[in-house]
Amino acid sequence: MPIQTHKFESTIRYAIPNRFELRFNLVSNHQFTALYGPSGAGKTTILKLIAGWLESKTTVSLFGSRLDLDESGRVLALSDRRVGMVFQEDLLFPHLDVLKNARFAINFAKRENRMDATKFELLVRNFGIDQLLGRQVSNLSGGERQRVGLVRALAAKPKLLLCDEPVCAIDRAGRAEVLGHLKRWAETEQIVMIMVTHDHDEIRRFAGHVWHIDAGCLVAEGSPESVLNK
Amino acid sequence: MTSEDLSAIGLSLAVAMASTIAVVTLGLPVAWFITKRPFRGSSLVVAFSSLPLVLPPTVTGYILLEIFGRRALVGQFLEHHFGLVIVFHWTGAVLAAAVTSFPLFFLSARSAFESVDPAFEQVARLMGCSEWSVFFRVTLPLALRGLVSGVVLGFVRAMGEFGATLMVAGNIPGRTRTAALALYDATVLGESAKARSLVAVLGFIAVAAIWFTSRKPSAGGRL
Repeated sequence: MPIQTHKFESTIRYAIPNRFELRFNLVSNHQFTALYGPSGAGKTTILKLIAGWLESKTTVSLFGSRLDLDESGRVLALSDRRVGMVFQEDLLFPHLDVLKNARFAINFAKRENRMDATKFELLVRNFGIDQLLGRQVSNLSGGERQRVGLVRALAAKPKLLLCDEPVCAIDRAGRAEVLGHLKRWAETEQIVMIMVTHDHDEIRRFAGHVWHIDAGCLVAEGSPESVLNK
Repeated sequence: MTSEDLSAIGLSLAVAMASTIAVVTLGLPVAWFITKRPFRGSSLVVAFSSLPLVLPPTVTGYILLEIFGRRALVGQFLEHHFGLVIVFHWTGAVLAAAVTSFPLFFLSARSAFESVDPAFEQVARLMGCSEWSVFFRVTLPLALRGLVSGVVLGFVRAMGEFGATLMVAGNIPGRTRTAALALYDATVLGESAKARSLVAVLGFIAVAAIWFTSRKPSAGGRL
């Protein structure tokens, strides 16, 4: 009997000092999964564990192959995992302008097979930052910064993209548009995405599967309807 | 100003320059290591390298003589193998200046590196950057302002070094008499015009340095 492989699979193992222990498995057969729950539930920590940002015994697989290990079973450095992360507090480099932030991975990553100029241009236009490229990041609005953060992460060509409320600073109308572009881009590039959000509409529009986290536990999971209507 | 004064100022500049290069070459990697890859005993390294800041300069000078003197262990070794004599030589002035100014650069560099949010470095790693790229493209540019302040402070401290220099390099006109030592001589001999012009030059350099390091950052956080 063939072993069943999931689109995404992760065993989360981590004790948050003085709070609670995260100890559960996250599985999804959908390309887009939402991580949902109240603030302080441990959602951002979970993303950091999946990314390998925090050291732990957490494991991560995409389509049955480990993302955190190489073929011979050695732990991969963060720079070799091809996991992208987009943050609530965008973390744009303050010493670089918008273009240099967006092109950071293209300019400086040690990876081969970088994004070509045509595709980068398309990415920039899709996310509506083509008018911002010459600006200093300190002069951008919160929403503009988040758009730049998304482009910067996608330009690194991740296999897995983790988003922590990636559109929360964008105005209501722009939010749906950016989320739509994000989803289409991920579909074409076959990027598996996990997104932290509180917004029910966003979850319904975006996700095929939802993990509901509360106080460090996976309390429910399933389709958006089944989880949100509880 | 006589040619002797000019040569004293020139020597001071050359000594401070050489000392600053040595201090940065050693201090930059050590400061990075201590903040970004702390190990057991790193606080000991910090305490030890800050020592010249609190020791009387003559004590620092005496300790250096005990190590680098012609009869001392390291001094003998250097003279025997490399023909290098530290005492009563301009290299001694560089050594004294480097040791006394090291803490000023090192402590500035350490707090400059500490001020760089490690999250920025993680972001660069996630995008596929090697540790070299992380250092040169993220850590160094974000710490640059603090590092430059450290270089300036170290340079000015080296420029004005007196006590340890006198102990190690002596006060030989044209060879080890720096501007600070020449000022002392001029004062003792009652040559007040000479003393005043040396004070003006040394004072100007110090004030310029303080102005440079306390400027407000321009837009975008660049230098």
